[in-house]
Amino acid sequence: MSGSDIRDILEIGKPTANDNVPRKAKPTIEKRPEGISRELYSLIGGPPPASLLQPTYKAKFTTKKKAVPWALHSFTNPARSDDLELYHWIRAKEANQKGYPFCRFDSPRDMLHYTNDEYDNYLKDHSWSKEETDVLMRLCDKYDLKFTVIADRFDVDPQRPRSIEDIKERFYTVQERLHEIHGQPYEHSFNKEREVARKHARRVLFARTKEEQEQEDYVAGEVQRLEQQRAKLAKERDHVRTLLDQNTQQQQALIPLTKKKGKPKDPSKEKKRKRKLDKEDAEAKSKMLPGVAVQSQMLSNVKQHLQSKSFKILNELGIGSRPVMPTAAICQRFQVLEHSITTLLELKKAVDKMEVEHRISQKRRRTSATG
Amino acid sequence: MASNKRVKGLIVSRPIYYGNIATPITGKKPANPDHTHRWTVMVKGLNNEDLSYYIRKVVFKLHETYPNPLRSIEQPPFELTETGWGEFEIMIKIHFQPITSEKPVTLYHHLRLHPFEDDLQGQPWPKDKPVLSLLYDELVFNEPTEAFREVLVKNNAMQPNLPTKKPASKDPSTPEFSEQLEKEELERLDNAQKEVNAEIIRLKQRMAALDNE
Repeated sequence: MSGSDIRDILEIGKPTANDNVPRKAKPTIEKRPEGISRELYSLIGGPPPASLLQPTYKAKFTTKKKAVPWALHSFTNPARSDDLELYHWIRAKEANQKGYPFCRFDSPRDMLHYTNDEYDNYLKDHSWSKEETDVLMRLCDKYDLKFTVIADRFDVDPQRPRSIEDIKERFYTVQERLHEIHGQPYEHSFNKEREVARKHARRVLFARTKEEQEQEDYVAGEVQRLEQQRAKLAKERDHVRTLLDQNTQQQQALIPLTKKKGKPKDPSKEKKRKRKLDKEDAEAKSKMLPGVAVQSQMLSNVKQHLQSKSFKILNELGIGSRPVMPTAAICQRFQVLEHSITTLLELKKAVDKMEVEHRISQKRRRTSATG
Repeated sequence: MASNKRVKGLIVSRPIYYGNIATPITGKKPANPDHTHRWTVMVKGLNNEDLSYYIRKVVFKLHETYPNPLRSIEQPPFELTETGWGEFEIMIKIHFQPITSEKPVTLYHHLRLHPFEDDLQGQPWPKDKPVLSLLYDELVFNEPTEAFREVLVKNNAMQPNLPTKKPASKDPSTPEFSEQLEKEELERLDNAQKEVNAEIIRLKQRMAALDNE
């Protein structure tokens, strides 16, 4: 007898899940991993059994701080016109101290309102009707002088839209006159043109592209660098001037040739020269230490970076790097000459720089004149 | 007895010249490559002055390859002759007489064996002509002792006493150092100075012009 026949006889419906229990349960073959062969999977093994995994415990919450008590506290906002009572949580310590701290942001504006008479007498304006001004005052009251909102809500005449600056101008003019009338000082002054220009400039500034910003930074950097350059050039020029002065001084006080017997040319001139020379000699001698020295070794050298140029100039003038016959007179004159050459080189450097700057400024002037 | 006190404000310069003369060695014997030149290094005074009244000895320090490179010459003439093949730097140390109470002075001289310039007529240097390298210098005594001053006076050495004119003969051993040579050099320096001054003035004018623009 088959199962279906029995079911018919006993009038039972479809076989339920319970009937399948005594059936031998097929071992479920896990074909879990996609792509891995069965053999490989049996080698690797599936996920580890749960008993091997140890649970990670979070550290017990311990802290030295004591629990801070908070309290649900009722408060009123003195800036409100009604006596609305609200609740908020604050620390138990601060429960009764300060008032509601945010009430200062809700301070009522010291806005004066006009009567109809006052309007007719003082506040008439050709571009603003009384209606519009009334609406404006009401909006200012309602929105607490937040002009962006007021301008948005101000929709009296759709064909004549008012900008924020127009509205502000009207408002401040009204307020100023009202304060005048009532004899109260009013310090807010509103300059419409300046405001419009300022806002435009602000918008342009905000809308600068990255390149423009980089250009501006670059130009600012250049300006700073030029200023520094100017200061440095001025210093160099002073240095050159002192060199020039020293130069002329040196050339005026020169030792005469070494002579076997000095025949005085002119007694008075000789005396004057002698006095001057004695003074210079005393100065020179004071620099020398007592003892013996070699004349050629007393020649001081030119500065490192100018050495090669100085040498070139000496060559052009037909003079070697060291005097042929280093007597005292010649050594002194040689030093003076080297000093003059140094002065000449510094001067040339300064003048070259000036020429370059001059040329640049001329070019700039020309382009700005034509451009 | 003159003291060792120094005479304030007195400067005495003694002119000298130093350097070398070199002649190539030619001979009938086969040439020795290590000894191609005979040279003499010296320290001398002008006018054939005898320097021994203030110079005690001169020590020439030669290249290490010479045996006993420190050669001390303790009587005039203060010179040394040797043979060799190469040019090198000789250190010359002049030691003064004790009466001067002065420390020794060091000079350096590059030994010249090979001609480094053409003959006066622009022809290449003749093979047998000696090569000269003589340099003028002055020993400057600042505030010499009284004793030394007496010595100087005795030897008529208070003034440089340069020969007036350049030597007439072209004898290589007498150098040209003289008042005449000094005057020539001074003129050259003065001319150079004038040119430099002119250039400076020109630049100053240019600077003033740029300042005004």
